[in-house]
Amino acid sequence: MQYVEPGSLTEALQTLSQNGEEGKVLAGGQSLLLMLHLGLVRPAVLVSLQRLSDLTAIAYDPKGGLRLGAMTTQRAIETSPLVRQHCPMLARTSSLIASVHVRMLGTLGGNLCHNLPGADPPPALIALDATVLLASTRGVRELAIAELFSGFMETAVRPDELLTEIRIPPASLGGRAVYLKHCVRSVDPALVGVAVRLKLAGDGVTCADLRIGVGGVSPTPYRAGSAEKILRGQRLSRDSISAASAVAAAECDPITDAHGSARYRRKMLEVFMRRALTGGWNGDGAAALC
Amino acid sequence: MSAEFTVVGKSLKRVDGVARATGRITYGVDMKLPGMLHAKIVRSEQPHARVVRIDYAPALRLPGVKAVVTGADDPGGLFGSRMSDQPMMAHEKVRYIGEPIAAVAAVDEETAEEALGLISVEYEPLPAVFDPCEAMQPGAPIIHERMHEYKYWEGWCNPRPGTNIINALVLRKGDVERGFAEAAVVVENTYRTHAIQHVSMEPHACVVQAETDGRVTVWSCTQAPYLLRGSLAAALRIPASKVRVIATAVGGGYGGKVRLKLEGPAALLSMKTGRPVKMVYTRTEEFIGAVTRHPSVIRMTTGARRDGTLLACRAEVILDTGAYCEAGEVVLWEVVQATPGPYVVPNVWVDGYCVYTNRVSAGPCRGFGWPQVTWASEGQMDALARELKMDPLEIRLKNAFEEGSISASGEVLHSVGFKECLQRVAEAVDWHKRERRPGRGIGLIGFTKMSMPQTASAAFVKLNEDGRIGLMTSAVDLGQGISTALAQIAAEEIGVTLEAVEVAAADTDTTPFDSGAISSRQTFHVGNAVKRAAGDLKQQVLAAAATMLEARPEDLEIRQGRVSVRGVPDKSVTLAQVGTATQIRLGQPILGRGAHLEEDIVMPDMATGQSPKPAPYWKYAAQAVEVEVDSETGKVVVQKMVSAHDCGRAINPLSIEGQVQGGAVMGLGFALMEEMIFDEGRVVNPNLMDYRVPTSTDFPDVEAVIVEAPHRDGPFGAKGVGETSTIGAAAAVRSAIADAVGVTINELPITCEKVLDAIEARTKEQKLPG
Repeated sequence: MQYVEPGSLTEALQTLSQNGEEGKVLAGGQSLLLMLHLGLVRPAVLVSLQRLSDLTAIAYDPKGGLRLGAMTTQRAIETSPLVRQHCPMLARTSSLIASVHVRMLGTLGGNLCHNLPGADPPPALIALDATVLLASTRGVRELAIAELFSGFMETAVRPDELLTEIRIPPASLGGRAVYLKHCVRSVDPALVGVAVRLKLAGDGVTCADLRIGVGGVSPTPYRAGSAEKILRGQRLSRDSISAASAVAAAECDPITDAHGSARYRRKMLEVFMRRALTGGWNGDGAAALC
Repeated sequence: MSAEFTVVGKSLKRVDGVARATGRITYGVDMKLPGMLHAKIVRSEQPHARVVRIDYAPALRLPGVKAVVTGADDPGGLFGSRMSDQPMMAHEKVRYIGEPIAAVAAVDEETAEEALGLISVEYEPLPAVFDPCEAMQPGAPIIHERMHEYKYWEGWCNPRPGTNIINALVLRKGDVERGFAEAAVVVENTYRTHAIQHVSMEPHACVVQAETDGRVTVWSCTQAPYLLRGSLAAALRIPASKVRVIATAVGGGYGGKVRLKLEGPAALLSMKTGRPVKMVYTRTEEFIGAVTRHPSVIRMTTGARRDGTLLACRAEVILDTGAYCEAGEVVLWEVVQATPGPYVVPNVWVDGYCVYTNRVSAGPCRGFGWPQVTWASEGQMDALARELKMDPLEIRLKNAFEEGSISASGEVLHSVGFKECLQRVAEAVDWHKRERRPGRGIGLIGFTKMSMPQTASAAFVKLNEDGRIGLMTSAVDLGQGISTALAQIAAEEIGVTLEAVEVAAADTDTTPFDSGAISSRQTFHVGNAVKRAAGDLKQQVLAAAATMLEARPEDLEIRQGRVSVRGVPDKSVTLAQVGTATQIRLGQPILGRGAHLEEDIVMPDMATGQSPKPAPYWKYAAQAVEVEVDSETGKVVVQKMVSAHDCGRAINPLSIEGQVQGGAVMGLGFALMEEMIFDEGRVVNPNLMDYRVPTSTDFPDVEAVIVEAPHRDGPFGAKGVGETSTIGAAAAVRSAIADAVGVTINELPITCEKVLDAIEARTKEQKLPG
């Protein structure tokens, strides 16, 4: 296995372009090194992004929203004053990832490209309607976050592409946003992770808009469209929230693994969707508003 | 507490603390020798199969590969604890997925790893059995056809050749039927426990050098150097003294590093190549190729009078030992002695079975069967308390063993701090005035554990020419602090400071015999040996000093490293002067010798299990846990834990607190998080992502309470505590959950899902009309 550390983005993209399927990008290494160790992946070329310091920037402007370089560590997001100010839900989500040791090294881009079921950032970014930039020697394309997750531990990132930036639009930075996670140990991935971003109409009870991201339940994170549809434009109430949560649970396609059964995941999706929506609506529930 | 002592009873700093904390200690994984090869093991992919053919010619052609060994290279000796049933490498057939079939040595780890892929094994699958209850049935596939040829220790084992039952033991007392007939209430339940892994921070590791003179030198992070020596010699069919085991520092053991493991294949490879061979288990191998805690199925029926007085207990204990005994026969032997728990029960009937199945072997694991029987016996106490509407603490105190109580085996018990443990824990959680809050509950339970008999220790203590004391034993410090405790005992006995004692690492060529860091025995047994050796040294020092001071030995005393005439402090010599004189000028070096074997042990009668003294000593403890249960998710959060232990006498209270806290967290992991999940004998979660070992953020600080009921045979009254610390946590958590939300889980582990299912079932029941 060859290990390369490109000194610039151009060089990195060229290396990826030359190696195709044989190349694998190394970001913080918190997932990839484990997989290498267990022999689950055996790339011919390991392309480290260690030297691409441009990819660690966190920027905000009112027009462009929040932009996070792909190599930004989870710990940097968790502690960033900019993120805490404009998107506290994302900072809080980052604080729930694994342990502080992992967060010091693990990056947002690496987390998204690994696409482990139960990863925390994907549902949060789905609720925030984020997009990602995928760069290659052929150019740059922008992709809606939900489209990034194409299958179980698979993404839409092509072998010659590099995920360089995550963007959260200005429209997603106001309103109420909640991410709730169910896990047994604090370091575990989410058995169920539900993120909700919600805008209330002027009357304070009608749901003007909402977006729900779900992680941990299915092979891939997804947007809970049916539940959104039930509530969008409707008066929020315990009943309507319960109905939407029940539909989300009925429609999900849960997995069974060492952390929990499909049956349990389905039940927990209903509970955590209800808690997250309730939290978004009126601040009920202890940990709900974050 | 210990005003009469100057070193013992003090929370002194660890003698090896700085070296450990700064990483300057050599663990097994750190060992390196010049010219060393690296080895890996080819493991069975089948749970039960004949090995038809092993083709390793392609591996030998890989550059860098130096040798491959298989069962054909194994001299064929079987090894074990009290039952010798295991070969180093599979012979003819494999009995579990993960069993060593071949091993390869190469110039580096990567080449060895690559070579594994070039070794192919052809199997002829045999019917397999994975459930211990099924394995006991007539017609089940037989896992050990030659059980009738196995050698074992009399008094420990009762094998049933032609079945999968490798040990069947009983305990009989009184008339249980009459007891049940007189009982006002009888409760009957089935309890199940699961397999967990020890998850030592340091995996199994060794370097083995086959010497040119036919000896074999082993550097290993073993818990028991002499047991390893005996097992390896038996397996290699060479005299024990031809094997030299040098103990490295150990990065956690918990029972997992007691038995011979990777040292066997490494020895065969070193003999074949003439070069030192290093082997280190991967984390995956720790799960599939080491040992686990014994899964168990325990059926128990208990009867009591209206006032809570226990009348009878009948139990069937089934331990699943997997493919090999790995001390499972001893685990069963121990727990049969006190299956009903630390309570006076006049009528007892216990049938115990240790059963083979086709999965990775279960072996010693901190608690050694007692977490399993405690899970059952304390479940029964809670069930009786519920039926009788009694306070769970009250029913325990009413029946609790105390000094002079008669055990189920007929022993008159001594050094029983059990009631004090229960009371101290109750005080710590304010049991009688505890606040009732929805979703919150407290569980309070008690338990006991024996230290196994027929183990021995010896110690040498020498006086150096600089006046400092050299302590030589084969005790192993796993991080529990035994080196410090032994040094404290030696220092106290001689009359020097802790800093004046140097502790040597175990080396079977030079340090004397010891049964190892097992069964919470080292403080008691090695401590006694050290105390006697130190006393022997002291007498020799006084005799030498008497000559030097022209005084009588009985008029001399040793204080702070100086021998002086009592009442005449000016008339003195230093230990350095005595050491120099005896060692260099007189040619009469001072070496104190001491040993300990519990001599009054009576092995239980095989027909009844009766014995007036089956164990060197019993440890007693109580634990309380407070939990919060989320009734919508079933998640259990531990809010508080208190753990009280009767340790006879605390030699080093700080070390005991550390043991008690670490053990409690291990017990909570067993209760709520850890589980080896099997599918047809294959471990499906052999990694630390999917196997949930507790992290430092998952549980609260544990309050350790030390109770001292000195034991007449213990050094300064001390008993062990290390293993006991982990035993009761699961039972305490179950009681706390029942207190919080009214449901009882009798099958471990207590997952969120099980709790939620139980809550939903109860809600459904309550909604039913009538």
